Amino acid sequence: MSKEYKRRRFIVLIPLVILFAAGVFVRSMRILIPNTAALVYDFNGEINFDDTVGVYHGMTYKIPDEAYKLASNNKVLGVANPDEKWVEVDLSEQKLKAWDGNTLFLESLVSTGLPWWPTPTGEFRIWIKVRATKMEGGSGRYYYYLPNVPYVMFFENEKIARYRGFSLHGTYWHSDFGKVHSHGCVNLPTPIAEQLYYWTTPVLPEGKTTVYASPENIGTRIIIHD
Amino acid sequence: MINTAWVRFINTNGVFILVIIAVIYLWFIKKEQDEAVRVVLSVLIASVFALVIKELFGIPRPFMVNHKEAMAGFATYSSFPSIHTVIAFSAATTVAFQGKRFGLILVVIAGVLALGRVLANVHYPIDIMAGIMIGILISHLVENTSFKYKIKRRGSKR
Repeated sequence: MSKEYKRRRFIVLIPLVILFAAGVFVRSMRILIPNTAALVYDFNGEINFDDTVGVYHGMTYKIPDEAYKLASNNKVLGVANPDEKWVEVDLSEQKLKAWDGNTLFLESLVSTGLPWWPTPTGEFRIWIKVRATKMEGGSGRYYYYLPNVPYVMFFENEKIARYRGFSLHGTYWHSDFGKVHSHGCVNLPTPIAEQLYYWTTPVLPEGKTTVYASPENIGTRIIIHD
Repeated sequence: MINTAWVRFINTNGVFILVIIAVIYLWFIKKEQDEAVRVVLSVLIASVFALVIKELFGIPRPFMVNHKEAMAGFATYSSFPSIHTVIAFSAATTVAFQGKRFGLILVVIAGVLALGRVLANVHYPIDIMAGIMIGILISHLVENTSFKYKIKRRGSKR
C-alpha cells in the first residue's frame, strides 16, 4: 500500500467531519439562542373576530366557535390559599394534573414541545392569563400563525423569561393530545383549558377575562418534569 | 396497500434481515470471515456515528409535523439522518466490495428499504441522502483500515 493511497483513504473522513461539525454548530446555536415558543404581540386578551383562520405547519384551520364562546360561569371558585394549588405537567406521559393540595382537580392528556422545540422543565408561575391572543412563530415548513388562541396562561421563571412566550393554552388546530406537537407550549383541549383558566390564580377581577399576576394576586405554580 | 402488517414489518425490521443476509453470505458462501466481521463492524460504527448526528440535530420526524400516521416502527426521536438507511447501506456497500453482483442486489434492496422509510412517513428524503452518504463512507473507511491483517493472521485457515 503506497503512502499516497494511505493518505488518500482518509479523504472520506472529510464529509463525515463536516457533518459532525454542522451538528455541533446547530446544537450549540440552539443552546445559545433560546427558542421562543411563540411571538405574542399584545396581551389585551381581546378576541379578534376578523381573524378567523389559523395556519400551522402548512395546514389551515378555521377557528371553531368553541374558541369564541364566553363561559357562562366565569367566577373563580373560592381561593383559600393560592399556594395550595399547583399544576403538574408530565412530559414523558404527556399528561397534565391540576392539584388542590392533595386532591386532584382535573387530569388531561396534553401536547408539549416537539424535540426541536422542547418544553422547558422546572418550576414556573403564571404571570398573566389572557382570554385570547395571537401567536406566531416558526419558519418555512414549520411556520405557524394562530389568531385567537383561547384561554392562554403564560408562565415564567428566573431562567425562562416572559418574552419567550411559553404558556398553557387551548387548542383548535389539532386534537393529537398525548403526543408531542407544539413549539414549546403546553397544548390543552379547549374545554380543559377553559376549566383550568377559571381555576388557576391570579384570580380574575369581576367582569374581566384577562389579568396580570401581582404580589397580592399571585400566579399558580406550574411544575413541568420529564 | 402500504399499511399492511407485512410492509410495516419490513419497514421496521427489514434492515436487520439485510445485515443478517450479508453476514451469512460472506461467512458461509463467500467464506470471507473477516469481511463478515467487517460488515458487523461498519454497521456498528456507522450507526453509532449516525446516532451522534441524530442527537446533535434533533429534527422532528415528518409524522410529528404533518400528522399523518407513521407506518413503521423505530421512529421515536430525531429524524436526521436515517439510521435504517445507514445500516442498510453500510452492510450493502461492504458486501459490494467482495461480490459485485450480490452487492449490487443488496444495494438495490437497501435503496428500496430507505424509500420505504420515506413512504412510511417517518423520514424526509434528505435524511435518506445523508444516511446513504454516512453508510457508504464509513464502510469505505472500515474496508480500508488495517485491522484486516490482524484478523487474517489470527483466524485464517487458508
